[in-house]
Amino acid sequence: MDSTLDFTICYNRYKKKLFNFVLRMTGDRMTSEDIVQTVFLRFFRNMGNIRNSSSVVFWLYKSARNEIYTHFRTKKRFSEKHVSDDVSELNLKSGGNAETEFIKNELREALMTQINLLPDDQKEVFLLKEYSDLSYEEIASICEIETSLVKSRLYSARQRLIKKIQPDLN
Amino acid sequence: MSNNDIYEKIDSWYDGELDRKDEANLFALLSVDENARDYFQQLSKLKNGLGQIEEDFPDALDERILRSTQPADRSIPVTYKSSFQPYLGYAFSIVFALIALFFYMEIRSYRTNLENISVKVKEQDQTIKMMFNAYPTIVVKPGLNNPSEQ
Repeated sequence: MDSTLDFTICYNRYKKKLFNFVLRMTGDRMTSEDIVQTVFLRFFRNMGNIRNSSSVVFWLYKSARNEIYTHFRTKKRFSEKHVSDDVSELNLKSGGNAETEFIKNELREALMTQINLLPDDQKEVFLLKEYSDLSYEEIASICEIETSLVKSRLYSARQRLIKKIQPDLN
Repeated sequence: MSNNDIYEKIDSWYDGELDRKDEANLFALLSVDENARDYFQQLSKLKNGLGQIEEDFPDALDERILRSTQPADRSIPVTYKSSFQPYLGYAFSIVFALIALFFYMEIRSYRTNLENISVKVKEQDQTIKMMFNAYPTIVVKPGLNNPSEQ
């Protein structure tokens, strides 16, 4: 099959999730765009070495994670916390119920803030699971940790998020 | 079974990691355990909330990536192919126009020559007529010295 076609299929399937994963990890749109572009261009060049679709997801997220860590190492600000989006930029959709939209925006704001406040190790596992749909084993392989640690970090992250945004969820 | 075990099962179910055989047990537990049910619902809302904060892929980035992945060796022949035929057409048009111009000039030249020749012929015709007219009148006298009659 045409390699460009293969690439386009994979690209369209994973681009949104990957972008959201990188965006939530870095908290910076410009950096996220650069990282996603780098990852996809590298994927395009290395497509021949990736055998099946599950390897594609694994490869993309592993590569994105490496890029994120490289970026943080270069900038030396991994420990810094970023607020990814200005709340004022959250636009209300026209035609909808304004009150419902307001509540949704409140929930979005709370979620984004709380995700950013998660410890880095929990945040990484949580975002990988939510945006990649990889298995525990694959996430463990990407993060180079034990599967049990993936489960416990995931559980801790969820507990923490639920606890923090419970009023908004209700 | 402790609460943590139940929560772990719920997590596994949401992550698609729970065995089929354990699913029935989980839902049985959920029907009797209110805390587990609450956690299940909270997790469901959290998942929905995460769906809401998902952002669209930027169009500019999309364009940038797709443009970068266009193979260079393919784009050149496509451009060459697409522009070759019109150029060939233009070249033929110019050649045909030049040939047409050449024949037009030739025909014009022949026509001028022909006109000149016809003028000359007319002049010569007139000259010949004038020459004929310039000859003295010939008077023909009948002579009767027929020897047979003598």
